[in-house]
Amino acid sequence: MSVLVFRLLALISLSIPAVLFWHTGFPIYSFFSAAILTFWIYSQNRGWQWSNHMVLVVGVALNAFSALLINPHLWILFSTTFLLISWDYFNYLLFLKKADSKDKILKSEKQHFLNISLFIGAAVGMSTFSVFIELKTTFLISIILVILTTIGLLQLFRWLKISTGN
Amino acid sequence: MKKSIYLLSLISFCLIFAGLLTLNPILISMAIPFVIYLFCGQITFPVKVDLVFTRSLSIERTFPGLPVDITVWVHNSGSSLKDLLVDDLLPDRLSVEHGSQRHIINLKHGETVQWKYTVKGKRGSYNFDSIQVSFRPLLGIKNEKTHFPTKGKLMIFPEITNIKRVAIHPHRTRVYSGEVPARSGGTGVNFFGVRKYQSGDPLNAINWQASARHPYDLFTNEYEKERVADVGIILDGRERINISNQDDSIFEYSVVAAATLSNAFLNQGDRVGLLHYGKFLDWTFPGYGKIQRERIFRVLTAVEPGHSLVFSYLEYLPTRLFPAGSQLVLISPLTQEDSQVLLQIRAIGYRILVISPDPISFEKRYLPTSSSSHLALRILTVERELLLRKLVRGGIQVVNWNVNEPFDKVVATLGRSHILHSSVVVV
Repeated sequence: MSVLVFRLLALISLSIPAVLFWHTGFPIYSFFSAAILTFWIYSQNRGWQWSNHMVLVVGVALNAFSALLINPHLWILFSTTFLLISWDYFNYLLFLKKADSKDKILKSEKQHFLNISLFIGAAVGMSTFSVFIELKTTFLISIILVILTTIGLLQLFRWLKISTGN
Repeated sequence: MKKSIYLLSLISFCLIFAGLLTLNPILISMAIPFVIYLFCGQITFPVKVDLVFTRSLSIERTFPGLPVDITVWVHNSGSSLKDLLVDDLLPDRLSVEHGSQRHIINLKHGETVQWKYTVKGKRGSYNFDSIQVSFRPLLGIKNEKTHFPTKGKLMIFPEITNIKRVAIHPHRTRVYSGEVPARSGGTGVNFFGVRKYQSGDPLNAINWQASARHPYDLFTNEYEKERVADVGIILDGRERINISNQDDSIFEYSVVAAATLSNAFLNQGDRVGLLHYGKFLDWTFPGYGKIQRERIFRVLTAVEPGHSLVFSYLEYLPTRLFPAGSQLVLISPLTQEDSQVLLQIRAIGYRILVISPDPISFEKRYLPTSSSSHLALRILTVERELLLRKLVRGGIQVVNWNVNEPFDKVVATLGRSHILHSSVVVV
């Protein structure tokens, strides 16, 4: 089941920028997206974890590029969210592969699918909400916001690093 | 999973800064899923893991190739856990026959889960010290591995075959009755000689034919005493001569021979000691009976060939460990330079029986059939034949064991020989 979900999510995540590029007259990037998708599915079959990280970086870069090139579009947010979820599913499939016994796997897959659905809902909702918020600030407030964001993110990552024991 | 955290952190940083630089809200919004993902991964990771593992083995002492059932119980005393990958780490030389040692399980508070699997293995002493558990939170930002201590030990003894009797004839024997001819007259089974009649000799022991030739004297038959003997088994574990190929090693045959012979000698009532000559000297002090058999088998279960600069040659073989005039059994594939040392040991009064697993027949299995390999095998066979003949001429009993044949069949040839003081070569 999870393999099918991964393929579906990967298809959604990379077909969105492909369609957007196609419609705005950049077919070369559409073909590039299709190539990445093919490679990703192939590498999942082979169990190449390195390719998963690579595709995530390239996919996000492609989405960011499309956000700069094309008028800001909500679809790009969805694509990024699905890209992240596909990346997670790839890792999850590798985790499942480690188990020889398949008796409890189906239950685990269902649970994971439910968690992911909740995450997609939350992430897409918050991202969409953030797009429609309009704040008019001065340059000074923007600088303060940037500094606060940076400190906040650094604190979050430090917390993650400490809790993983690395 | 450190890599994943860095990767997602880097992506979210880059997106936020790119968004701020270009004043593009979409880029900043794109970072939100990544930040939520990192956050959810953190908060869904189990805070307290309180698992208790128990393992039980259907049998703790067995022989190669026989199945052993392993049952594992895991009890969760802490909070509910999901997606636990439990891996009962197995040593390399054990293989799973049925079931699986790796499971993904979900455990509620107070729940106990058990599973069973069957393993088979090669000779060795295996400790099951721990079970590895990998946790994966609901969103897999972290994948932490923890080892839980467990108990369990499996000993797979070397395969043995039952041999009724191994014919040896040492110079000295011990005082207790046994099965080894003691080179002196007394009560026994085999005819030893004739002596003058002494009062008290039973009438059925009188040799009437000899007495008829001497009208004024009577003669009595004497039989050879049978006593227990001191036997020192030397297992040659020098890495340079114990060739191995893929999963197979000629050393395994040496171990089988050592186990079979020590079992046979102890069954005969002999006093047996074992010396493993390899990386170091592993000396099992001589003894009798079942306890000694257990000691020797435990040593043979764990022995491996090893390399040592000191013990690369047999010249440092400590013969003083063995009683003078006792029977030594050397189990070794042999090399050319070993002959000199063996002849010296023979010269100082020890009886030596060499059991030599044939490295040529062992290696032949793995060689391609070609004219060059055929020629090489012929040359090596001639060299080995000369080496063995040299030993036989020096008064050493030699058994050249073609490892494609069962050991008991080869040793039976030795057992049938009644002329024990002459040497036997089975080629």
